This record gives sequence, structure tokens and C-alpha cells, in this order.
Amino acid sequence: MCRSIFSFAAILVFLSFGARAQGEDTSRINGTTTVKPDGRQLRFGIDISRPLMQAIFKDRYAYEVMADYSLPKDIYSVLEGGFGGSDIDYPDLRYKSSNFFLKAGIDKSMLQRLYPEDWDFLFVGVRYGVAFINRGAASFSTDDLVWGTTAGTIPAKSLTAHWAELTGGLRVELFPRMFAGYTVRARFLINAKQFRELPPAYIAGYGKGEKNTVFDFNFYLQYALRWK
Amino acid sequence: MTNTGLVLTILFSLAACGFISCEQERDPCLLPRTVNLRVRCLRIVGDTAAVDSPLVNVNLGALDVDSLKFLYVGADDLARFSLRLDAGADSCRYLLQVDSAISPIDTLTFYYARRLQYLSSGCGYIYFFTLDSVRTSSNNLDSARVVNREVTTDANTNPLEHVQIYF
Repeated sequence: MCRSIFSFAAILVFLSFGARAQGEDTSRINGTTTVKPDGRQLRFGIDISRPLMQAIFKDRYAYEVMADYSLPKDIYSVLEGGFGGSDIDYPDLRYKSSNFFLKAGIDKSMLQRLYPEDWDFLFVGVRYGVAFINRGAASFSTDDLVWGTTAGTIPAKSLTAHWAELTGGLRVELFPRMFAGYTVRARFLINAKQFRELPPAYIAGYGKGEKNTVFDFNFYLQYALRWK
Repeated sequence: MTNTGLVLTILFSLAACGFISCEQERDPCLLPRTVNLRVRCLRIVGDTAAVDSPLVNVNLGALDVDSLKFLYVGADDLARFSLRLDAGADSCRYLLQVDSAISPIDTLTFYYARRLQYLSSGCGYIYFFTLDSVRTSSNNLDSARVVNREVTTDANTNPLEHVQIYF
């Protein structure tokens, strides 16, 4: 866990340098060509990559949605949520799990706005995520060449996962108010200790339950509401 | 940034992300799964000393299974050997016949506690054991002693063996 927190802290420092550099650029530009947005924007999105991943990985499923809201200085507050689960059916291990999750955080645009209606953005951001997990009872078996097979069950368990994320990505306004884009994510499980004993194979919103660090991506289609 | 440039960037990035995210359905098992109980054979010399005693023409088999299951048949130069404990019971028995042409059969009975151990999703579960005691018949054997109670996947215990048997 310490390593995860250290990695997260290190990258936060990196991000803070990036944000400061952006601030310096902005103040320099302020004297000449500052382009302000033409209003406020609230954007809703759905992750279309999850159903595709479900077609590839039959043992897991997830559905994810998000919303972001434009704040001053090209910062966006972001709220994400969804649900999913996994169904493990190995010869020696069988169990199911399901969960729902919530994430909150901010994205900071790294692109200079070209004109007031320019809402394309390249961003970096951070998230805090929490997932409420139900892992069903597991049945297992062990094989021994001498003594044969021994089978048993592990009781069901409720778990809560907390993690931090670093994000980066792009959003492009392909048609008026319609966006497409991706977010790449590095996730760091905060309470990894709780997941040492038969973790959920897949936690929607996070990834593989037995890994302390996970890299992932989402591909979103989004619709924006705008007002002055 | 133009839209075309951004779209191309998205496509390339997605391909890269695909490589990052696509993993095998079940991770391979990279941890040791074999839990062996290691036995060392010693011969008593004098009142207090014992020396390694490689056994010859050894028959060793598990009792209490559907049929007698031999691990060694006519094995020679056996100063140390490995056994498997029964994960389905709290004790198990082995027969041991040293120099099988002439000597009688002895029985080794191991008493232990089982502990279920999760390794990983790729490896699943295994059992570890904590040895309680070992009893022997005394046809050819003198005695047995537990020197290391924890029987796990650790192959570098000190001492290496879990049980010493004396002739």
C-alpha cells in the first residue's frame, strides 16, 4: 500500500508542476490573446468500451457513465459511476462477484482554447474511487497425486475498495455538442490488505481485484448541455 | 488542434491502450503449489549422537487411500525423502519398509492441523499444515521427531527437514 501511495503522491507532484506551468503560460497569454469559453458546459457520457470488452472477456461485465462540469480556468469537475461484476468458473475455483462504484475528481485541460466555442480538450486529472462489492460464496478444490481431490467452500463476503486514480485523455467535439474521446487511467488501490484473501476477480470501475496497481482506459461518447 | 489530428490521435492511443488492457483470462500460476513434508533418515550412534543413514531398497507407500499407493518402490540411497500430507484429514499413515528383502514393515502416522491458503487467482487454493506429532511402530524404526512444524511451500526451511526418523 505504501508503494501505491508513494507512486500516487509522486505523480501528483508531477501534475502540480504541470498545472503551475500551465498557469504561467496562461498569465503570459493573458497580456495578449486570452480566449475564454462562450459559456458553461455540463456533459454526460457513456463508456462504449465496456460492452466491447465484455465480448472479449466473457467472465466479466461492466457499465460506466460519467458527467463533467466546466469550472473556471479550464478545470472540470467529474463524477463517474457504474456497476459490474465477474463470474469465475475455473476447474478448481468458482465464484461470482458484483459491485457498484462511484468516482469523483477533476480534470485540467492542457490545450489552449483556440476560439470561444472550442471545447476540445486534452487533459490530466485525478480521481478518488470507492466500490461496494459483494463476493459470493466460492467453491474450490485441491488436487493431490497421492490423496486425491479435496473440495470446500469459502463463505460470501462484502468488501469496500478505495482507490486513487491518475487520468489523462482527449475529448473531441465530432458534431455540435457530441463528443468522443478516451481516458487512460492508472489506479492505485488504497486498502489492498483487505483483498489478499480471494479478492474479486474483477471490480467494475477498478479492474483486477488482486492487483494493487491497474492500468485501464475508457472510450466515451458524450453529449453536452451549454448555457451562457 | 484540428479535429482530424485529434481523431487520429484517439485511434492510435486506443490501439496502445488495447495492448495495455488486454490480458489473459486466467493468469498463469507462478507460485509453488507443492507442499511436501521432508523426512531425514538418521541412525543412532552411541547414546547421544546420530548420523545420516541412507536407506536401501526402500518401499514407501500411503495407507488409508482407496488402494495402497507407493511413492517409492525399491529405492536406494534414500537419506531424505518427501511425503504428501492428506488435506482431507487431520492425520495420515505411511508404511515404510527398509531393505525390503529382509526387514519388517513400519508405520509412520502424522498428526497435524490443516490451514487453507489462497495463493492467487491463477493458482487457487492449497493447504498448509502444522505438524502436531508423529508416531511410529518400532519393528525396524527406533523413533521419530518433529523438528519443523510448519509444512508449507517454503523449500528453504532451517533445518530443511520437518521430521527426523531414527533407526
